[in-house]
Amino acid sequence: MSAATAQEILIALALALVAASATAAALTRDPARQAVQLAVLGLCLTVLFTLLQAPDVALSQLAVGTAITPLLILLTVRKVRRPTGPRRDRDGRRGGGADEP
Amino acid sequence: MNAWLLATAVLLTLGMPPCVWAAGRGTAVERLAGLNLATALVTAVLLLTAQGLGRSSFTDVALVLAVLGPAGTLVFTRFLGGRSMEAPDTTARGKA
Repeated sequence: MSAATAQEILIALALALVAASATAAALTRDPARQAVQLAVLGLCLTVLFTLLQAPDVALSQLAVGTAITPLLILLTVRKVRRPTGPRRDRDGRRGGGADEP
Repeated sequence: MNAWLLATAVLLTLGMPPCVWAAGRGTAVERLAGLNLATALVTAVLLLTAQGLGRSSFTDVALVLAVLGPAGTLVFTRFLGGRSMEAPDTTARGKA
């Protein structure tokens, strides 16, 4: 088996993994669970970029997908879900008033 | 096909699907086990790819992943476990 065929087989495997994890991430509803699934998707994308001989893209994808995106998502989930009774009431009243021309 | 690339294909075929499966089921804390195993597997896959393609510069990606993987796991445990740890803390503060 030639080297080019071997690399194409590896790229096909990595593409199948990316498709599976991306579908799972899109079908997940809870944002905290979705953050974990997004981290796995970032790892699969890193493997795909490395097999496509783009190690710098894989490096930046690794930094963004493994560290920064889960941190931002989990910080946002914490901020949104903090139990604050009066503020939630005010938000609920303000929610219906989007009728500006 | 290189022996290194063959090992990469075996790891991608037999190693990664259980990780994706484990990271797609259960609660967020249960998914962390799949993510952690996937991090270790991907580090090995990247090192094998660098050896199989004959490019030693690809090793840097595996090095960065080996540094960032435990840091990401710490971020997840800090923010996912924080919610369940808040409740005893507030009750203790209320008693005191």
